[in-house]
Amino acid sequence: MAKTYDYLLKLLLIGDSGVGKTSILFRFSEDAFNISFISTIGIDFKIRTIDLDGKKVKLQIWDTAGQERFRTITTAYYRGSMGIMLVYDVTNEKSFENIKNWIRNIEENASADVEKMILGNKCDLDSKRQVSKERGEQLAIEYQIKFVETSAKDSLNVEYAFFTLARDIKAKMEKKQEASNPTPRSGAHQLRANEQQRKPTSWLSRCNLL
Amino acid sequence: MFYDDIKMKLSMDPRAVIGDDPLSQSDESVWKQHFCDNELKAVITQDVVRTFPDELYFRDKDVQDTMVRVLFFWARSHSHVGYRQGMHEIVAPILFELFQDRRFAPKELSQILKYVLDDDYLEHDSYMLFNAVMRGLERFYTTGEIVPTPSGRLPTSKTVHNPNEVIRYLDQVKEEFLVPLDHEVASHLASCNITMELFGIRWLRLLFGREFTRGEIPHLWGFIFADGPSLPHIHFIIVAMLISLRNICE
Repeated sequence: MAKTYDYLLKLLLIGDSGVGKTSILFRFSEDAFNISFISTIGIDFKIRTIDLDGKKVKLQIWDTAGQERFRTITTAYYRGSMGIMLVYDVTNEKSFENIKNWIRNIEENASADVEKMILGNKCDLDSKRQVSKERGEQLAIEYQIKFVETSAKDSLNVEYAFFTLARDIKAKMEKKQEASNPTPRSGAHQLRANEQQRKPTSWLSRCNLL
Repeated sequence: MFYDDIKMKLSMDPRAVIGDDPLSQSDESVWKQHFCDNELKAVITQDVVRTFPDELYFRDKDVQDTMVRVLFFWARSHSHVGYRQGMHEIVAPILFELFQDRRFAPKELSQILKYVLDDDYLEHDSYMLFNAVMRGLERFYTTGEIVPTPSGRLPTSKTVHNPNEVIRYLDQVKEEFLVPLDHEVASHLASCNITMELFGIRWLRLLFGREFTRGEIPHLWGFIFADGPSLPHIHFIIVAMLISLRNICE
């Protein structure tokens, strides 16, 4: 079978129950919104291929059940993912506070170099807002993670978020590729040494998945 | 234990307890339990309000409150399992069927049927039936040695990927039944990298509730329940559903 893409990226959506992970994914994959979403049970996924700087990038996006934080199925998917979207609900203080727990969870379960992004969803519900945009930005600075407020309902920044995360992962992959196929250039050798030091960990962690 | 006893035992008013205080962090504290209970109810409500969005019956605040109570008291009296997402879609069809029984009952009823269909006991009956169904489903909801906190949160596991009962069960269904019965489908799934848990967790935890139309669920469940509360034959349904999909594979 001919490959219909240049890159395959695995992304994961995590965050508290009810913050809108499924809605964000539905907006991105079907460009639609449904007010009445049902709880995700276990794990689900959607696929969308995007064009990124002339390359076909296939995104395989895993949607998790919010309550599955800290649990079984999710940890296996953490390890397989290259990018993670951390979602909170701007009308729910607790879901914002829990972002720190989710980050700790990523640190414990995902590979060390996984790309992350924080999304403050439901930003259309301004009258119910409990978390200001500034606090979201502050948290993102603290963890050095990119941040954006989204609205799956109004289709605000959802495309931007996925494209940004995908572009960052692609750039990282290309950098790695370059490092493992060094062009005769000064400094390339140094990069390669770094790469070899890192490899065993990432290979091992992938092995654990099986 | 009956529903009223469970309710009474687990609904202590912290204000009535002498010598306890709202800031206490002691595990014995009734106040602490009270705050944990509120948190657990919020977790449950999150799912209950999203139950069968197209059905008017479940948009009713009283119905939603009934579901929250049933799930809450079940979770509190089964603290080794607690509340897990999906249980709300087990309670819902049960509650609806019991409600329908009452709604469509003939006007003239014998004393005994009047007693059985007493409106005041709709919630109690839902609890007892849910409890019976959960005897068979419980193992698909547990997460190994991880026990939820009193507020229904699941603590972080330190062990790396301990496969829980549901995943073990699904692997067993694949190896012992699917592979010998339809090797082709099994290897097709394997070649597409589709693991059993991807769909199997949802199938089992919801007892196939999302795989058929809502109208078909009571019939399917009636068939399943006929084998008794341990639900001994659901692996056959899983295998049958997978084999029935084989045309799509081609």
